[in-house]
Amino acid sequence: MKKYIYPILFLSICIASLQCTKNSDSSFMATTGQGGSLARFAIAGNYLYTVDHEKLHVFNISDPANPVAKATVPIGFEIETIYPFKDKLFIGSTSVVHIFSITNPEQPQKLSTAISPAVLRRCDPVVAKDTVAFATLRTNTDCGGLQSILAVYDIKDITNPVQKFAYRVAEPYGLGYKDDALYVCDKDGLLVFDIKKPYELKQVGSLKDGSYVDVIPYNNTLICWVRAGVILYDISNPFTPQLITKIN
Amino acid sequence: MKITLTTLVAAMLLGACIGRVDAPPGENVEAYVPIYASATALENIEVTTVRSTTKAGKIYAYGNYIFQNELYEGIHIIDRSQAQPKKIAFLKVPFSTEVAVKGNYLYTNSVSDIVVFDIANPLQPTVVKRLKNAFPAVNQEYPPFSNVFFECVDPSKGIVVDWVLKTIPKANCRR
Repeated sequence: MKKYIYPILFLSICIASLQCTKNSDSSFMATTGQGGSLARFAIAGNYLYTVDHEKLHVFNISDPANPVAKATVPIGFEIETIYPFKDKLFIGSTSVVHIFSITNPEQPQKLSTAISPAVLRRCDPVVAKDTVAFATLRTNTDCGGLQSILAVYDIKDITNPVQKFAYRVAEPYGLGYKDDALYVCDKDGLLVFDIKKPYELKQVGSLKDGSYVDVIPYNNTLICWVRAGVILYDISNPFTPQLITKIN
Repeated sequence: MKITLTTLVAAMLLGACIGRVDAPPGENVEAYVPIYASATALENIEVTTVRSTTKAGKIYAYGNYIFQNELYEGIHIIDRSQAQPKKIAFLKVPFSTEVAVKGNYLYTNSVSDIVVFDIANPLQPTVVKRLKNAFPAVNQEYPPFSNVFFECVDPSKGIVVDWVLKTIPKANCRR
């Protein structure tokens, strides 16, 4: 087995460098990977940020083998997700999205809290692109029967996120984007949106190869967490994902 | 349904403090029950051959590898460097739910501990560090909800790894 490792490694490096030349904006060579929108662990620079149900924990991982606890920040209740974006952390709870600055990475500062006026409960994952943030707000029958939505926020002024658009969805979970394509996991399938104009986004397709929970658009591959395992799609053309394989 | 309502009203009357219930509500109440594991069970980390996914958990992408959590069991390691991506190993980590990677190091949790693996050889990850109680994922005293009844924790039974909603004859704690 061992003698195969070097050729495989060499091949991987070749493929990696090929992909890099194709995607100048890719994070392929970065030493940090990428998590989904439902993660509780997030890495930004030399820091590992984790959220439990109520607090944000900061670890210095300059020496990645030896994380050092640096700070614990109380946030609120029913925290479920953390998403790093530039020098910000978006922290999703069951009711709101808290936005923190990590300009000083060891001392996250709360900038604002985004609240959707249409939804009382079930505000979950969030992703951000430039000056826009997307969140899926899932309601259930315990929450007064309000409609689940995909919410679009203007975050030009990060201290004052404003909901600009809402799109009705059935029962949404994780989400992610590549270029102008936004992928939203929903009870009815994986919904594909054109977000060129984010405040008037349009659904352009849907995939029904499994029961989708979360997605990671990773260079030209869309990695989907489905109830049965993983499904991979080629997203060289982001609006028309092509099935690569299912791994159960 | 009636029981739930009674429970709710009782909970509201009792206020918001955590504590033992002196006069337990009626029988067969909906309450959170702690699931225990022994501390030694958490040390049981090993690399095994691939296995099928039963409780698919969170995903993480790193270079040519995809990591998928098998809820409470460990992490599937998937190699996508070939035309047909496939599983190459399973990293058994008791009560793991999270995963992230930097450099050749993978971070996950084992209940409330953060465990760091060296994955330079993804076929043979090795533990390099364990941070005890660094990720308090599961509260050891009460369930992650308020105004609910629950079965009081008995620390002699081990570490609480989860809270499950069940209908039980008598709930002796609430918050």
